Amino acid sequence: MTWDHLIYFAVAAAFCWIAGSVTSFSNRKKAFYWTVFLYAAGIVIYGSFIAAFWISLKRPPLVTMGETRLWYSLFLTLAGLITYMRWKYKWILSLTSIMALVFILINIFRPEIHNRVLMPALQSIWFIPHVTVYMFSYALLACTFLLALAGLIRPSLNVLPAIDKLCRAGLSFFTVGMLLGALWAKQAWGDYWSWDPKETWAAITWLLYVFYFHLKSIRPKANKYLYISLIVAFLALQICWYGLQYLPSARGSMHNYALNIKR
Amino acid sequence: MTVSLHLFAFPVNLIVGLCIVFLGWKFRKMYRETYMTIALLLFIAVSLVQGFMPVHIAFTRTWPFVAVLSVFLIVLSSRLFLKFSLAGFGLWLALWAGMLGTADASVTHVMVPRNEYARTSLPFTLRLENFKVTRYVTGEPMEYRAEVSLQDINPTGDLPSRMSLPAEQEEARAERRAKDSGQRKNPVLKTLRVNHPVHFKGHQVYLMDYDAEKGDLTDYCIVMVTRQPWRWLIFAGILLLLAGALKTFFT
Repeated sequence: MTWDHLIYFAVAAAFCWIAGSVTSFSNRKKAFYWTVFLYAAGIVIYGSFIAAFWISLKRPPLVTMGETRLWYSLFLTLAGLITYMRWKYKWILSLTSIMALVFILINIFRPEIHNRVLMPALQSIWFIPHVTVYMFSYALLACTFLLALAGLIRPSLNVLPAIDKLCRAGLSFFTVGMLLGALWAKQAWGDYWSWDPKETWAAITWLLYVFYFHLKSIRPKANKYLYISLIVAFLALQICWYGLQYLPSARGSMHNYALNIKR
Repeated sequence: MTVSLHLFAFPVNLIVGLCIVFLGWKFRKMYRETYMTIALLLFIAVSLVQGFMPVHIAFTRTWPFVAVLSVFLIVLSSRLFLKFSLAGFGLWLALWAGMLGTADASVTHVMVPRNEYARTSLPFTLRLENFKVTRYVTGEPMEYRAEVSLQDINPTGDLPSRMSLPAEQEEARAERRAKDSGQRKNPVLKTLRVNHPVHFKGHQVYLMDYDAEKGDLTDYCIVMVTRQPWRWLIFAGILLLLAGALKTFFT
């Protein structure tokens, strides 16, 4: 299984996801079950590509940018499905489908993604939990971002209760990912926290999400500001995740594994 | 603007830490959510400054950052006095011990040569015995393995005694040892790998670099030696915050 095979799985998965998104709008009796079935089938098809890719690489596909984007699409659709099943928001599946497909398309149309082997610095038991937990939290927080946008555009929608639950779960996962990273950093770099650009932006993101909860408890009715705080937090998350590459100040980050070959 | 760390070496940092706790208790009416929100905003602001600064400028070690962090810790502790939470306490402990412990922590980079013990200011010294790079079929490195012997610097001048090492190594070492000053005890042989630091005499030793052009035949390796006496408190704080984060899934 190589990157070349992604397109076949992606087309099949995209078909299921789009079909599921369409049926979610239907008012017929069994529409809910069809939606869940179709959407889950898409996730299974897409997930089986990642599994086969993992096996043929003989290592978890978690190293390069392209590989992390594979996971992002998977967890985004998974988080979307869970949100749909739990809170029955009809439009959430369309939005998570579009986002997931954007990341898949980037992978297909930007093949400069390479199959790099795992360098010594990344050979650690902390590696998989650190990255997957982060990926899942990114996906959950992306859902809160979409909900916040929807709430901002159509104030009649009451999305705050769903945002609250998703954000709580997302922030918890984010915290776990960050702390696993801290424990790993002590083993790899000698300190739990050294304000490396990635760490600094993770701290900013974390604090912004914590800020949202505090703002909510002092101004529970200020929906607009709450939505804005979530959007700002998600922007910080984008810088933390991949935006650092474009930030001049972040050159020389220890998290830049493409450059720091030796470590 | 950088904080002079030596001014806060133990026990000054502990006294400052107790002052933070005392102020938190004294102003515990500040537990109000509004103060916490303001403290959070301040913390976000100073973190953003660091976020936009080049890597080599450590804004986090300057007075403005440390002042904001202290205010944050005071507000957080005042909150904890009236409304305890596991995650909050974990965060507080990790930040508190992280900030104060910096004054007692040290980081030393040592170039460890093959033929002689390194000259260091540490209470022990190192010598590279063997270096091995394992590669993938593609030629990219899979593992670096540096065998080093670590030895106390013993000012009393004990003569070195027997070690349990293979005979030929033993011989070679006896020769080298004859050249060394006779001021050392038994060396300890350890293997350094990336992600696998060695703990020795309250220090942690990390493999950092080697002469990549010479590969296995490198004449030296560079190690980083850290000492972080407060690390157990930071570790405890991280575990508590971790427990607090996981708790939200079950409530």
